[in-house]
Amino acid sequence: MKTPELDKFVDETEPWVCTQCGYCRTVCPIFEQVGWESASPRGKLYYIKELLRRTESQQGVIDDEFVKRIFQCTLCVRCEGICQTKIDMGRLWQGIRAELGSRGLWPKEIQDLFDATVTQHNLYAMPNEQRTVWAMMIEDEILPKVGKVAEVGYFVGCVAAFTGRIAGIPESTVAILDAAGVDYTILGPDEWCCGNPLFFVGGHSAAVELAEHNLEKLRELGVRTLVTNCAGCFRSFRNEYPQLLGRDIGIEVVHFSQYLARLIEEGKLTFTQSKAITVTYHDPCELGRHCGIYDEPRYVLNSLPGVTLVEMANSRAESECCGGGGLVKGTNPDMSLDIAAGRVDQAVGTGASEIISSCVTCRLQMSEAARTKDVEIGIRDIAEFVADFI
Amino acid sequence: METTLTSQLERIVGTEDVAVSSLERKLYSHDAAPIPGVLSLFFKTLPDLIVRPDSAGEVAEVLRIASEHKSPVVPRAAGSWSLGGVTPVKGGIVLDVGKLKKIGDVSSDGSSVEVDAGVVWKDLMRRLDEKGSAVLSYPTSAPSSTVGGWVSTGGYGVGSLRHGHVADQIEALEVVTAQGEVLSVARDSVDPKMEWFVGTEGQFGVITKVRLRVRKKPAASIVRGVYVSGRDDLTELVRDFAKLGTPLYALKVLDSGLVTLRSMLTSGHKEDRSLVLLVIEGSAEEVSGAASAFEKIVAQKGLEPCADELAEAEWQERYWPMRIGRLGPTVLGAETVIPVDRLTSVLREMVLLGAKHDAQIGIEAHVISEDSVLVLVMYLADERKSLKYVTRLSLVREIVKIGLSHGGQPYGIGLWNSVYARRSLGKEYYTELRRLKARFDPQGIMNPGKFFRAETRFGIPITRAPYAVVMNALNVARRLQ
Ligand SMILES: Cc1cc2nc3c(=O)[nH]c(=O)nc-3n(C[C@H](O)[C@H](O)[C@H](O)COP(=O)(O)OP(=O)(O)OC[C@H]3O[C@@H](n4cnc5c(N)ncnc54)[C@H](O)[C@@H]3O)c2cc1C
Ligand code: SF4
Ligand code: SF4
Repeated sequence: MKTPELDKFVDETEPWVCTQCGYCRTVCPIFEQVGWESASPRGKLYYIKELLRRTESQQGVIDDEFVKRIFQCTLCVRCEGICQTKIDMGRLWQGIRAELGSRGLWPKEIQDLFDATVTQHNLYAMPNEQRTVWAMMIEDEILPKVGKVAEVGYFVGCVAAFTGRIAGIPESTVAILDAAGVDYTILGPDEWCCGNPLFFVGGHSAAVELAEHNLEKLRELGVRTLVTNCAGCFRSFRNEYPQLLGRDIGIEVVHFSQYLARLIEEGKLTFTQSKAITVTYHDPCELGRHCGIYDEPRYVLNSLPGVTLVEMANSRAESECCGGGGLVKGTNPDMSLDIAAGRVDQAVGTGASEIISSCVTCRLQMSEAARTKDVEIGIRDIAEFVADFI
Repeated sequence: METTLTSQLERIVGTEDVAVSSLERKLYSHDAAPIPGVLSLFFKTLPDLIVRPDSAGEVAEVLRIASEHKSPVVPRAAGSWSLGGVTPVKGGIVLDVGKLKKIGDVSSDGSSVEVDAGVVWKDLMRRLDEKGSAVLSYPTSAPSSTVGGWVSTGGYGVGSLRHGHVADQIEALEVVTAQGEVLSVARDSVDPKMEWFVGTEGQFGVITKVRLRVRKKPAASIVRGVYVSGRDDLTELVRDFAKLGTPLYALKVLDSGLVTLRSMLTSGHKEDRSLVLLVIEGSAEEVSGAASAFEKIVAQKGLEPCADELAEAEWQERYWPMRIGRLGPTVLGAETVIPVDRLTSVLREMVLLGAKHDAQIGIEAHVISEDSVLVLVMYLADERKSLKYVTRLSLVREIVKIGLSHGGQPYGIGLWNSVYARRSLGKEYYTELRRLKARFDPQGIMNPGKFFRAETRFGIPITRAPYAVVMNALNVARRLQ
């Protein structure tokens, strides 16, 4: 069978270099939950090869179970790191999802998310004018920042903007920026979804409009450096946009954990508080494995007076996924939460009293897992944590 | 009948742990070897269902029901082997041991640990490391393969040079026989003997637990490497290194062809000479003594040592021997155990074979004892180019033949090497095992159609190498298309 959409994402030989060694099975959070080959990276690859066979008699058929399994993937790309032949898994999973989309085979939850993002410009299908709803309690300080000209742009992202439970993340972020004397701007209603949910399903062509819009607005405000707490937005701007648009986007993209490190190094951010506390750091997949950022968040945590950082059994490139990526939260909420619970358990094993992460989704996921599974451990984003020390 | 079988099994393990979908059956119809689908002409590779018991008790009940239905049962672990061991020949039940994955505590004297058969080596190694212990040896597929899988295939791997065959590391086994009897078999047990279940590839039952010997984590461990141009002096060099004695934990040769292929995949290190790697472990004193002895040998022979960081980096790559597959896109391979004094000749012949067939060849040679070497020959192919691929597949047999002609043995039996079973096992042991098959598995349900002899889906014995038969079939199929 011909797979024109998949071919846009990876070289046509990519599925064929799989040796079926099975290494990827042992790191895949989905396989860990499901246990069947069809849920393992190599199982999916084997079946993709079956679909690609030239003669019709030998070809596999795309059935509902295959579609279900393709959307059971958090795109954590842990499978890529261990792969015998270094298969470009991230792109491959995006490509096969795109292929299914072109055949009208997306699950309903995916189609709904896709449509909301494209038409409402946020994945929650909320009126986009309400982008500053997170700042309800600090409107007087925030509204003047919206749409002003400044070199630093703070991209809040859909998740932090619309999820009341984690409004503390953007609140802490602006508190820190203010404390460090940073002049920054916020797009407010002109901020559109970065397109990450579309990238997750290979809906790249639909993301062009979002990307161009965001970049245009940022340019209009004179933004040179874009700062975001969301590991997904960060990955989209940093990795996806240049590839999608075929050009350098002309803006420096910095994750807030990196920005914190910079502010500390430059002496612009100093701490007045000291707290004797042991924490562990959770590397978000999209910040760590996808973008290679491991050191800066640790530098920040180690700079905080009184804080002791301990590592989990799996950290940095080996970090376990929080279960929230790849839209699995939408298609398989229970599984997604079970994966998060596994990660929380690992953190508990370190003896730390808090888990610090650098991703809004990881923060939400792990908090929900700890709450529903009744686990005693604090969970905060690095912005929330750092804000307590100024 | 299948519906009854399915519902009976579901009652034992639960509906979640029985799969009958066409997708799942397809994915459990093969192992790691890329064998053309036309195989199904001869073998019923598609299982009827897959079942995942989570205790020896459940395994026993599954086997009892399978016996009742006279249904074939194919034990399957990580499926990382390539000799057709987990490929169904007559359909039936694939019994996935993936849920048997408990790791017990290290014994109070630190000498052994009891693990479920489905435990992945990497997980065990990590757990032991946390406790200051280490396994004696392990396969290089440790990131995926299981303890039970290696016991069943009877393997050699990293550390075999010092600690011997996997059989030498087992204290006791728990096995469920075809009739559902749970046996505890200790090392010194006379009947049943432990060896009957080691390397017998799931013919007598399902291994559910293994008590493995372990050791204290070595105080020091270093990797050393040396480059060698040409193959003439390899045999002598390897023998000299092998004499370094106890601190030598592993010794392997990456033949120049493999080094060249691997260099094509990295932007940094470029090299086209063979590389001999040594891992030296023990007390700080032992290690430095052996390291000096190594340096002396290298200096005496006027060889160029490999920088320590590079040697270490190469050693870290040991788990990924098939990296070169990226250049294929398919990588095929075959293994043979040869006498160490034939190393140079065997390597030469393998390389000539590659040249004759215009195939890019990469060879790893693992020294597994003072007198034997496990030679892994990999070569590149392209599964998508059907006709050429068929010819390429035939090289597997040629590789094994070269090994045999030098007094070697094929490594493992499974489906593809079943024609060599008598030779591999020895006539007497082969006969004894056949007798035991009748005792432990009177209905012949365990992993049928392979090991003792290959049979087609209809029970017709294949007397020639199955590869040759499949190849002919493929040629015919191509012509018909
Ligand atoms: C990259 C790579 C490196 C490798 N390196 C090595 C190496 O260094 N040494 C080596 O020996 N092999 C090696 N192999 C081959 C393979 O990984 C080993 O043979 C491994 O031990 C197989 O384990 P598995 O869990 O994958 O078993 P499987 O492939 O699932 O099964 C292998 C055989 O054992 C039987 N079996 C499995 N589990 C049980 C059980 N619990 N009870 C009864 N029967 C069972 C199966 O029926 C089958 O016949 C390598 C393979 C790869 C892909
Ligand atoms: S990206 Fe993560 S979830 Fe998806 S297949 Fe790879 S390891 Fe599994
Ligand atoms: S690790 Fe890579 S090569 Fe091995 S089975 Fe998984 S995808 Fe295939």
